[in-house]
Amino acid sequence: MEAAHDDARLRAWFGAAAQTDAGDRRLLAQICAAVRGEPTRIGRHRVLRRLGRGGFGEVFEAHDPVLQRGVAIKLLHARGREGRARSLQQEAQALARIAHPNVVEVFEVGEHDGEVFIVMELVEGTDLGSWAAARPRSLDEQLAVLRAAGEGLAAAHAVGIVHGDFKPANVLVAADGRVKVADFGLARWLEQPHDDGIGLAGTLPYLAPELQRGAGPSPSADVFAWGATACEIVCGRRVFTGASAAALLQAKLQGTSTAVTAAASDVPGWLRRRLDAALAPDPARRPASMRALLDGLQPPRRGATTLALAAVVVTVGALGATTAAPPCAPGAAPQWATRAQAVLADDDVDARTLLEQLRARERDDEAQRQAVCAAGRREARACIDAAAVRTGALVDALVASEQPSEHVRPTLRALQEIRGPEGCVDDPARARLDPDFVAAQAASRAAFAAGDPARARTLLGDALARADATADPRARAEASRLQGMLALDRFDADAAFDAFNTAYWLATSAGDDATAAMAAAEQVLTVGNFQGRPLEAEAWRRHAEAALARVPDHAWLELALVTDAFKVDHEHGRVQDAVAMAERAVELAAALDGGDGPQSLRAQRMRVEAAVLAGDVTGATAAVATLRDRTAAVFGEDDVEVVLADLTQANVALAAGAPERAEVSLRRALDGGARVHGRAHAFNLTALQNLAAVELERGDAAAAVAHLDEALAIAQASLDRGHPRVTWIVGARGVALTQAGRLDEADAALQAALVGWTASHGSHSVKVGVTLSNLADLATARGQHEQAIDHARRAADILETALGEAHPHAAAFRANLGRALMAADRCDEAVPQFRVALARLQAAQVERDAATARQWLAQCGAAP
Amino acid sequence: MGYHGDDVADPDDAELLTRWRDGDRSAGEALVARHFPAVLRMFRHKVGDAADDLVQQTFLTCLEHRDGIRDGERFRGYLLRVGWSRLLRHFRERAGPRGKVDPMTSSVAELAPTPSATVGREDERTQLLTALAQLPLEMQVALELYYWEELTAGEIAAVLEVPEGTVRSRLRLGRDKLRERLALLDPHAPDGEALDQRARAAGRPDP
Repeated sequence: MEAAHDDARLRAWFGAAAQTDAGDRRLLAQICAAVRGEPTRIGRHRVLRRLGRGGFGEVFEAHDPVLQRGVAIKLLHARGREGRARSLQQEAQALARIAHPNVVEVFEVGEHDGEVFIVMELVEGTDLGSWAAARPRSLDEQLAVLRAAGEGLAAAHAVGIVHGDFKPANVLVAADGRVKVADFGLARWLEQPHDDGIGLAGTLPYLAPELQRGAGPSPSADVFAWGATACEIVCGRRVFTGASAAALLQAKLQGTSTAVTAAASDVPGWLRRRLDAALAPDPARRPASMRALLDGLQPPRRGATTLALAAVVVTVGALGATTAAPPCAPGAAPQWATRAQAVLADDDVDARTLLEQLRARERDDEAQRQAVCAAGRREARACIDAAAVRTGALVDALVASEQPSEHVRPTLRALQEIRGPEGCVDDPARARLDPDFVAAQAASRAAFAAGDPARARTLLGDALARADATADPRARAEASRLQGMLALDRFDADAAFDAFNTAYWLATSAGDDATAAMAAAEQVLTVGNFQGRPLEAEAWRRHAEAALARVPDHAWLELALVTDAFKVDHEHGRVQDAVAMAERAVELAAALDGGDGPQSLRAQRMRVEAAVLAGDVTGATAAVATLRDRTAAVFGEDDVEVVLADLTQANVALAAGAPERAEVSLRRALDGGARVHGRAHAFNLTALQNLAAVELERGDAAAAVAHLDEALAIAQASLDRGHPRVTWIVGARGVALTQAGRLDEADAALQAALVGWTASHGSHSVKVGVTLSNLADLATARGQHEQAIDHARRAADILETALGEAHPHAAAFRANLGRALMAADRCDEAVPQFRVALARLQAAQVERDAATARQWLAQCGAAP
Repeated sequence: MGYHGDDVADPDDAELLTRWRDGDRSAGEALVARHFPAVLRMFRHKVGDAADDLVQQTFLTCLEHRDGIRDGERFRGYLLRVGWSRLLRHFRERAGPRGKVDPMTSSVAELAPTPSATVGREDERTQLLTALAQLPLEMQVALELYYWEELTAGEIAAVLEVPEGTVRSRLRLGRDKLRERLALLDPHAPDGEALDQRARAAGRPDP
């Protein structure tokens, strides 16, 4: 008995010791491979199994016993060609330089049994095509994978390697979600000749047309291939089809608009445009680089340069309608004009305009009211009522104010943004809002429009209470939206986010698409700029687009969205997008107000800012010429819009190299901002920052430091710590401190800025490049020339990669590199840098920087 | 799962072997997969990194020299016999011309003093493997073939190429020594109930 019991115990112990692990399974696989007659070893690696076979050869899974890791080995049918192994070895060395998370790593190249093999990272997963087909993937998921693949391409291009055979089969999606691009530069090792079609069958649909015609691989061809791949994944079908290679070529040359449009009816517009651009038959018309393409898709690895900053704009005077639902009976005629007249002076031109408009509204109101009531259109009647309530609230605010004459202009402007009765559409849900709520909300809005946010918040409290009491999600949504706007006004980004979030979801669930669209649009701005998360902002943008598409006659909604999207694009340096948004805004605004009204003026200002961002100084100067004055004429001198116009004008002057003019505009903007919001308000940050920049130009470092100290105090008080704005100011202080000779403080500041920019924008962003350049200047000032040259070189590389070599800022940095070399007495090296920079600056017509470059060239004793 | 000491040759193995002889490589693979755990266990905790090569060699030898199988011998028995002889050869080669490797007295602990990297992580496994490694090699393998591969004494005798009676006494002696050593290693050896639970959890996994 005892023996049996002991025996059982022993058995149990043996059982526990019998388990196997992954290493054992590998061994089994290897032995099975041997049994099948496949190579059991390639180099020092133990072959486990064949993963696939293609035109080039075979791929095996293998195990490296020395490094104890799984690898993939590609065995190429590359027998017999002289020097082939050596070329492939060089290729592998080049590939090994990439070392990027989205590129399959190459470990070594060797020869086995007369055949060349490549040992690579083993990726457990599937190719992109299979991944996409495995189950329905959201656009976000697809774009995340495509972006990652694009990053891999960009990383390779950055070290001079092109792929040449990019396609879904060469993008691996690992089980853990990592994305890796494989088979770089291997296209040339394919055995099959080009016109066979068989060997390249997998590649042809993605091959750039110029390659199909025999040109060599290039980064631009990779861009095309990426575009074709992306389009296929996102659109769900292949972009270019044809029965033969020739037919495929034709399809590509015909250009993509038809192809993309046909394939992609539910792909959002912004994405369609990107794909179109990438698939342009003419390489010169494609995005300049993979980097540029990705910037259009992706949030901030790049930022705007030091000299041009987006103005922080607060949305004032919201759009959107609320409704009330009195019974269908003729109401008492409103007395807007009469009441306003009682408090206004007769000889005031603006007052007369206001009164005229009020009278016109009264007439419209009356006429529309009768018409819709007769036709039994209750909902439209409710809409008319809503407009009436808002107008009435505006007049109330005017009448109640202490200095009515000062409020005429804001009232005029707010009036323009209340859609008149003719804009009312039938919407059954609108009829059901509680009238008390509507009144309270309207009053709050009016107070906000009148520039009294404190009172607006108090009144909003009433509106919220009413909304809660009636438990009406639509009311609550609208009130939340207003709450968000007030929060943004005081730069409370988190509160604004919560409020817009609530507004959006409540409105969506209640079917109020207009409010949802507005809330989503405002969220784009909140998340993208105030909270510095542009990727999320893009998602909100899609919410907004979806919502506004469901609203009939939605031009005004689209304008609001486009405006907010523009601000985010601008802040994050997405040049092409910003330009596109600005143009669309101008279009929409002109349709809404005829081209001269406040909306058009705002849109035109956006267009100028976009031009500055794009480096189009000439265009920007022309467009801004009369803008400021026209804005003041419409809005009045003490208006946010005018301050913004001043800031825009300053940006243009700075970009054109006329700092004195910029300074005038900036001081005006600062004064105006102080009058509108008070001096210590975050609204004034842009003016302070740019003023400091100008003072630095002038050489007045002390003044610059003072302004930046002020700016930093404000920014730290009102923005989140990691906010890019704070980083910018810290960096600018570093520059100013350098010039002021306070070098240790400067070093601390610039180092802090470098950390900040790397964290928020990435180590290859323009902002990091700029900071490196500043550090170079500091190093030169301290006589640390090697350091300076190193920083300057990196800075120039970063900017040229990010903005393109032709961009004036990139050229300026190349000149700065020359200067660092010059300071180290290395004129022979500096002169070529100066020459290159000078040529580019001249081509971009940035005369001031060109003159500086010429000067430096002369200092080195060389002729331009 | 383990075979249960039938005297009749397993028809599946025979069939696979025939097909393999006729050129069906997948039959060979199936044979390998089926008997892999047993061959692995012969080498795994005894020879360190050399285990992989030895396992592979054993299989390839058996598959390539298909005529080496004796009449009435089951394929697995054949594998284990070849494996055992390969194991001995490994130790002899390591010990060199002047080394003494006597399976009846030498233990793995003496022959391969550096601890194997593949020793199990869990306590029970470690303790058992450590105790086994201290036994004379032949005794250890006899016990393993008995508990892990569930061979009969007769089958074990065929593998080790010793008389059946010798196997029985090895097993008896071996069990005693093992219990003794396990008690030494772990004065808090688990009681019956805990052991049973662990045994159920451990099961008899196939790779």
